[in-house]
Amino acid sequence: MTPFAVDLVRPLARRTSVAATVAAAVLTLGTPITLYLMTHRARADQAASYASRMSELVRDVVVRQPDLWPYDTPKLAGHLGMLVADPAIRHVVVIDQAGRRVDVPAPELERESLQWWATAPVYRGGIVVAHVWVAVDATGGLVRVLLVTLLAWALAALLSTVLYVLPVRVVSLAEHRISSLLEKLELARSELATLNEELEQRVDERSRQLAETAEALRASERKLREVAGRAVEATEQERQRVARELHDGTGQMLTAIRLSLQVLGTPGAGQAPTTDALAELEHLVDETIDEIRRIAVDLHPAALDRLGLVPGLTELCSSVASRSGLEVEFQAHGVPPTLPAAVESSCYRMVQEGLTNAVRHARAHSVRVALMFEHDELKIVISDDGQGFDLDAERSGFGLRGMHDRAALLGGTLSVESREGAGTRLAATFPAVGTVGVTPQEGST
Amino acid sequence: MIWRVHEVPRWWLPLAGSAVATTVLLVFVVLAELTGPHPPEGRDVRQAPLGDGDGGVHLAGTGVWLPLARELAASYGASHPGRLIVVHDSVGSRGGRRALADGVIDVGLVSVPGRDVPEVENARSIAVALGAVVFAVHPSVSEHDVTSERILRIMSGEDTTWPDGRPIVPLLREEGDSATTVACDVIPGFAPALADARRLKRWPTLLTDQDMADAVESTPGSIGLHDLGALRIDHPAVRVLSLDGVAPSAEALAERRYPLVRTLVLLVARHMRPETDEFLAFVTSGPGREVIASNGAYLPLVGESP
Repeated sequence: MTPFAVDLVRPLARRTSVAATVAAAVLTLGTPITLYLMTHRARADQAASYASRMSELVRDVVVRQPDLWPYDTPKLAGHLGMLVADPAIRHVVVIDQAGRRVDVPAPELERESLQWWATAPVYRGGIVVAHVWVAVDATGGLVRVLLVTLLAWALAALLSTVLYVLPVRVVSLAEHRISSLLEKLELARSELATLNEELEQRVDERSRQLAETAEALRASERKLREVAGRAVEATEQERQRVARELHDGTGQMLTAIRLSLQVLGTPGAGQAPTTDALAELEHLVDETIDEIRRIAVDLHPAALDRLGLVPGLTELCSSVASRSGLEVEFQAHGVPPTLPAAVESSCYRMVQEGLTNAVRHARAHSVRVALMFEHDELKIVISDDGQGFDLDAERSGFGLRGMHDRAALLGGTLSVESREGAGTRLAATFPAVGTVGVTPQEGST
Repeated sequence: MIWRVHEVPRWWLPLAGSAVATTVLLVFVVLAELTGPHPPEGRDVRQAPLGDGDGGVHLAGTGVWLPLARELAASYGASHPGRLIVVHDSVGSRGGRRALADGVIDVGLVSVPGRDVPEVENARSIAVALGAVVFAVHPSVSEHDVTSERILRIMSGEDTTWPDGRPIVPLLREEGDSATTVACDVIPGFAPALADARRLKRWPTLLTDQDMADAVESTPGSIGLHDLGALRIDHPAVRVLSLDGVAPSAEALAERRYPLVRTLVLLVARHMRPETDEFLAFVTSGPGREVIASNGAYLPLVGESP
C-alpha cells in the first residue's frame, strides 16, 4: 500500500462479499429446491396413483383366482402392461402376503433408470393379500432439476458476481483516483512547503537586506549629518575666511584709503595733494576693487551665471592652464545647457578643486577633465599624470573630503583611484540630476 | 477497465458460494433419492399344495384347456365318485408350469404350437389332443372362408371392410399366446404384420380365450383367433371361418389338411400323488379319449414325452 492509498475496497469487499455469497447460495438453492420438491411430490403422487390403480387390477385377479393368482401371469402382465403404456412407469413389483415376489413377465416393465417407488396394498375381503410396488421414472425430473440447478448456479454466480464485483470495482477505481489525487495533493503540499520555506528564506534574506539597507541608510544618514555638519562648518569657515579677508585685506585697504584721504583733507597742511599721493590712492582703490572681485569670485563663480556649466568649465580649464602652465584637456558630452544650480556649482567647485590639487600637490604635467551626461546621470572624471598619493594617508585630506561632501550632499558619489607614481583619477557621479533645457551641450579645450 | 474482475479481492467467493450450495443441493437430492422407498426382496417361501387342503386333484393352466378339462373332470367325477377334481381358471401355460413346478397344483394344462410334445424339466408331459386354432368372427360377418393372403391384408391394415361394407375389427391376443404363435408359425408374413399392428396399437388385445370369445361375440365385424374345441364346448355366438378353403375339424387335423394346429399337453410331476395318477390314467384311457373326441374338434393323442 502506498503512503497515500485509501483503504476503501477491502472493508467494502469484506462486507459485501459475504452478502454476495449468501445471495448466491440463496439464488442457487431457491429455485432448484422448489422445483425438486414440486417434482418429487408430483412423481410421488404419480407413483402412488399408479400403485393404487394397479392394486385394483391385481385385486380383480386375486378375486378370480384366490389360490393361484400369483401364477396368472398373462393376466397380470396384460393388465399391468396396459398401464405400462404410460412411459412414466419403469418397474412394477407385486409382493404377495407371504413376502414372495410375484413374477410379472413384462419385459417392458424392466426399464432401468432413476426410479421413485410407491406402494399400494391389495385387499381381498378386508385382508391385505399383496402389495403392488410401482416405480416411476425420476430421470426426467431430476435432469430438469439438475439443469435448473446448473442454470440457477450460473445465474446466481453471474448476478452475485456482478452485484459484488461491480460496486467493489467502481470503488476500487474511485480509490485509485482518490489515491492519485491525494498523491498529487501531497506533492503539491510538499512543493508548497518547499516554496514556503524558500519564501521564508527569501523573506529572511530580504529582511536581512532591509536591515542592512536600513543600517546603510542610518549610516548614510549619519554620514549625511556629518557631511551637513561639515558643510555648515565649511560655510562657517568660509564666512570666517571671507570675514578675515574683508577685515585683513579689504578693510586694511579701505583704512589706508581713509587715512590717505584724511591726510589729503587735513586743513593744517595747507598744501595741495600731490600727484603721487593721488596715484597711490588710486592704486589702493584698484587693489581694493580687485580684492573684492576675487572674494566675490571665490564666493560664487560668476562664469556659471554668465556662461553656463560647460563654457564656465572651459574657461576655468583655460584659465588654470594659462596660469599654471599645466596641459588641461576638457571634454563634455551630452550635458544639458542648464542643470540645477547646486549641481552646476558643485561640479564647478569639484573641477576647480581637482585642478588645484593637480597643480599644487600632484606636480602633474597634464590633466584630463571629462563631463558626461547619460541616462539622467552626470559624471565627472578628472585624471592627471601626477605623482599620485597613498589613499589611506590622504583620505582625511580637506580637499578630497570636501569633494566627497559636495557629492554626498547631492546624492552622488566620489571615487578616488591613485597610486604613488601612477597619477590620480577622480570620478564623481550625480544620479537623477534632472534637466532644465533639452539641448545637450558639447565642449572641449 | 471496470470488468477486470481478477483485481477485485475475493472475487471468487460468490462463485464458490454458489458452487458449495449447488453441491449441497445435489448431495441432498442424491441422499433423498437413495433413501426413498424401495420394494423388499422377495422371500423364498413355497406355497402349500392346494391338494393338501382338500385332497383333490388341482388342474390349472391355459384357458384353451379349460372347457375340455372341465369335461374330463366331470366325466371322471361321474365315474369316480368321491374324487375331487378342481379345474382352476386360466393362469396361462406358463402359470400352469410354474404352479406345477412349485408343487401348488397337481396337473399343469399347457398348449404348444404344432404337433410336437415338449420336454419339461422335472416334469412329465403328456400330449392329450390336437386342437385347431381358428379365425372366429362375429355372427354378422357374412364370410365363411378367409385366405391367408387376406388375413395378411387385414393384419397389415390394407383390408378394412367386409364385403358387406362393415368394418373389419381384428382382435389380438397378448404376446406369447399359443394360438397366435401357431398363426405366426404357419402363415408366412403374419408375424411381422402382427408386430406392426401391436407396435402401432392398431387393434385391441385380449388376455384370455374367454375374453376373446366374449369380445368376438359382442363386437360386430370382429375377427380373432380362438380354439375350435373350446368354441364347440362353450358355444359362444360366433362363427368359425375356414382357412384357405379348409374347414377346421378333427378330421382335417388328422389328415393334416388344416394347418393351424396345436397340441394340448398335461404336465405332471414325476412323483405325483396317486389321485393324480388315477386321473391321468382316466384321461389317457378309452373313456377319456371318447370325451376328448366327442365334440369333433379335438384329435385324441396318446403321446408322452420321455
